[in-house]
Amino acid sequence: MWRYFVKRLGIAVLVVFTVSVISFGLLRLSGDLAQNLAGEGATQAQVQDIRVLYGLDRPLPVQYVDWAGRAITGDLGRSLFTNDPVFHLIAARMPVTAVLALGSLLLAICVALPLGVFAAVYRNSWIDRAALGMAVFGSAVPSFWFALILIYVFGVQLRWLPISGSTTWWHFVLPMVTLSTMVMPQIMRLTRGGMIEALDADYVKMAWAKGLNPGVVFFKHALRNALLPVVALAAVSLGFLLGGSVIVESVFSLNGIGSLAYESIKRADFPVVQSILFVLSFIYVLLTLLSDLINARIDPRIRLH
Amino acid sequence: MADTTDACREPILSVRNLDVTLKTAIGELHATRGISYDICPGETFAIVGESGCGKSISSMALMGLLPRIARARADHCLFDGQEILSLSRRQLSKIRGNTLSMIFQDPMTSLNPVYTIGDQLTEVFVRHGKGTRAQARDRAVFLLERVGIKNAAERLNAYPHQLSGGLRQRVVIAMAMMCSPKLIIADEPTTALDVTVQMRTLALLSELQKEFGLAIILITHDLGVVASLSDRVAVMYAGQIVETAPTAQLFADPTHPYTQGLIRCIPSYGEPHPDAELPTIPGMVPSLIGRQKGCAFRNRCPLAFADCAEGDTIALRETHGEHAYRCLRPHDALMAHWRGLHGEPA
Repeated sequence: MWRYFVKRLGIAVLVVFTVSVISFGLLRLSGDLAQNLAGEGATQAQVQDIRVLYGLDRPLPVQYVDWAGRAITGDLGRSLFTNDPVFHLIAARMPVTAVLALGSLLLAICVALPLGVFAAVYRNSWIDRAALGMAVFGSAVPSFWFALILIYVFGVQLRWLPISGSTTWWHFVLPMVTLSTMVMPQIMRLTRGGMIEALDADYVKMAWAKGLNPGVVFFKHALRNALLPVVALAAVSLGFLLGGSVIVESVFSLNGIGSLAYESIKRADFPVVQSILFVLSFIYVLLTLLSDLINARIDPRIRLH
Repeated sequence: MADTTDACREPILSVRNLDVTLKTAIGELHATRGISYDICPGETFAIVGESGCGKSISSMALMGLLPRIARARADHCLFDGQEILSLSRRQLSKIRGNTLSMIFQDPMTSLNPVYTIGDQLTEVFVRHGKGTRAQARDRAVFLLERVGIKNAAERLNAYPHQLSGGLRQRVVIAMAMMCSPKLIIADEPTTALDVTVQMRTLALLSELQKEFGLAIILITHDLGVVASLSDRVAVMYAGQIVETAPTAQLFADPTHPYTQGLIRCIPSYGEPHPDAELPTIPGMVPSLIGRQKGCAFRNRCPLAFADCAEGDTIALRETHGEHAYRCLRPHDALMAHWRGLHGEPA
């Protein structure tokens, strides 16, 4: 188990390094940052001044080492727009996004897991078809449109829930429902597929032959074997939810990382954009590592690798 | 025909006219037709036949583990005095793993990979209310040692992938023994094992049977396994029992042409020359869809004649003792044919 953990950790560190290089490079490939900052009417001399001021005239590797060296110590630079430390900007916005993403994932799992299990147990029955229908709906519907429908029905017509801001827990309900419908279908399908495979396996026949109760057969013997890909998917989904909540945050006027990223891109505030990219990929890598560890707990065979 | 297999006063399992049918897209498939047998406490009853003859599905029907498209009907299926085909799922689950347990074919896949063998051994004991978790542990250690696994107490914490195939099948056997069953159904228990491990596993089953007074239904396609372990045999072909006899008698006087063919196909049994071609039974198993007329084996039978295609089914005829076969030819003619196969004067 320890060897496995150290190996995974080593790989994770390498991935974080690679991702930081790529995100650093991509942002600089996206155009001349100095030109963007100076604005359209700026003269060549002004652009050159800005380039020197922010150190953009130096060779790329030097810029990277300078940035990465400070990022390791937690110094992500300052916003070009507000002059606040980027670390503070991100820390201030993170809770909203984290609550939104975690809540959505939890909601998605709570619905998708039992639904997937029942769909597999009652294969080709109405419950299976209803679950598959919902999955198709969930993957086909654009989130901004679904968000607007929810706002119209539950906010405007029924007046049950608030539709904008993040002051109370109630404000998170509609955004969470919107986001969870985006990840629910895959989790449900993967659970269903894994369960169908597990239910046909000999060890499940054996479990029936031992006279175990249906609940024990389904949830102890079958589900744990079906769960491995679901855990990996859930971790990836959480990363997706953290980064992909831009649209939902703007529809519901939530001040999270997504809206910060959106604003910063519009303002060409590259230290902020750079840092958000890096922080999100860092979290993503952490989640993947976490899912590897959970899977090693679930399946003893993984610990050998 | 009920009397033909009536070997003891109080059979632990008594099956009469068991029919298993499967609904398929091209019609109703008769997986077994009119299967009847009695099993006495402490005896081994082998059911032998080629793939698809219905030997496995008839025992799945007893366990209540048929696929959803299958239906089982019988005049009766009495296990330990209870009519098991009409039990509810809940009642049946109290018998399964308890007084009636099963050993599956492939030990590599019949243990759950994500739980320790200790967990899988003890759960069946606790489920059937045989005692506490600690008592279950003691029982598991006792049985693992009994089936020849060293360091049994430590092995409880092992996962299936840490054990070899032979050891896993020993674990599966120990698991089937956890609640002291009266009958074990062993479905091809050694087919997936190495040849060297096969014989040891069979010897172990035989020892356990004597020690604990178990009855065993041994389902196999391997006549060698039948010869070494069973007391009585039923030979199945196309869903029917075509011949049943005490094991020694079946090998000495195989009467049904199919049984004769099977025994002749055993290497080194009828062939004196090692480089001679092995005999086979020509032809194919008939389709089991729809009603069967006459004898199912007639298209492959060297002794078939016009009458074999007539009638609903061929009746089971008794010769002597508990030996019975399903053929229209008289016993003398069949025995003469068997001797002829060996080049002896008819």
